[in-house]
Amino acid sequence: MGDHEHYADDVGAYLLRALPELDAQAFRRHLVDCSECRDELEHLRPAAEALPRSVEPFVPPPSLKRSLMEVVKAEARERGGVEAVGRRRLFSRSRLAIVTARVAFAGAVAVLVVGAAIGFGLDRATRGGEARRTIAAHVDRSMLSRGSARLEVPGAGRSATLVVRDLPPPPAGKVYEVWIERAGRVRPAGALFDVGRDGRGAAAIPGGVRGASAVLVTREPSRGSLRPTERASIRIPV
Amino acid sequence: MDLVADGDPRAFEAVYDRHGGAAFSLAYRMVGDRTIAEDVAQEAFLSIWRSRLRYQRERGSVRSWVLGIVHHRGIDALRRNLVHERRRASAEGIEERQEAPERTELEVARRDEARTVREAIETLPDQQGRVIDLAYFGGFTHTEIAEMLSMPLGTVKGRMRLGLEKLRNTLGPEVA
Repeated sequence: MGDHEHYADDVGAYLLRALPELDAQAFRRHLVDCSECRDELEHLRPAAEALPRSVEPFVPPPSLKRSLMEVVKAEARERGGVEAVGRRRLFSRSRLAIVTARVAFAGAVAVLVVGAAIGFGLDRATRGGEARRTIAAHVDRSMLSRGSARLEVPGAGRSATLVVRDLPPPPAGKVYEVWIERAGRVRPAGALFDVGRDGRGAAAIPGGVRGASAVLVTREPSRGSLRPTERASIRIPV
Repeated sequence: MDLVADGDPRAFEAVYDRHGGAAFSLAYRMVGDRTIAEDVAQEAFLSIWRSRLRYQRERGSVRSWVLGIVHHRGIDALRRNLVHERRRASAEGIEERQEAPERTELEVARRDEARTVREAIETLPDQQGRVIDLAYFGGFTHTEIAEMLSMPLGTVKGRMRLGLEKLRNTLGPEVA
């Protein structure tokens, strides 16, 4: 039995969260390589998402909002004190130069690193009306339990930018490395990055992504690698 | 949602005001106990706040995203077996239900939508509707359902898939 046939019937159970955790992880790994299952998942997803909307609405107790907002406001006050000091952060690593450029995120800090020891500033603002594409990434949950990523590609196809949020820090002694896949070959993109305490980070991709079929991210030794040493944890089809 | 991810409590409060009722209702439908439902809903919203879980517009509505997180927490609560003892002992059921009044056009629309989806679910063949209900609202795994219904595992999975397919076709553009 081929892989697809083996997993095809798991789509419904996966959407209903009826797969035991190990089976769910195996199914997610299978999804990376099976477009048929991905297509079916997206086809059936609206039906699964309709289920909670069938529930008769009930009034939540006022205590729910009260206790939630107490916690949220207290934590926001605490964060506000920390972030006022830390609006701009600098990371330093032995071969990475880090430069913070003009910050366009509301209250965000972006850290950008290029593996050739040249730092690029990150500027997320649209420049001079240039059209910008944003491509969402596929994150392999069997490798990264949380986080999201997107690729921002200026219309002129110049240096693209990978932006990540809520990513776990890489293991000690490692760094996230960006790769470009072209014509079936994977090469270093010349970009290494780390993430801040809040899981945010970014990397400019020198030379952009023209002609690329995908942008990949793996965790590599702190000086980077010439070839990926593990399966991509983030994949962005271009 | 960007403001919530950036730690703005007012934005978070707006999200709660808009979706808190549906979140609590789903949690209550799953666990059948008001106190545990409150805990489930609170855990879900705090996870949105604290982990800065990132909403991705291309994946669907904010409501679906929030309810997905609530559902996940509800499953956790059910599988931690927190609910079953209380379900047996609890007599709360009817007297604590406070159905949301239809105050606004939005609430009327949502109640209508709930009715439409329920009717669609009721058109499913019995076994398909049952496995979906046990899985989605009961938090049971396919293995547990197979055992409960004395049904082969493959049959359970097949009925889940077919049931969702039929639901998708019945609801049609309303779920797009």
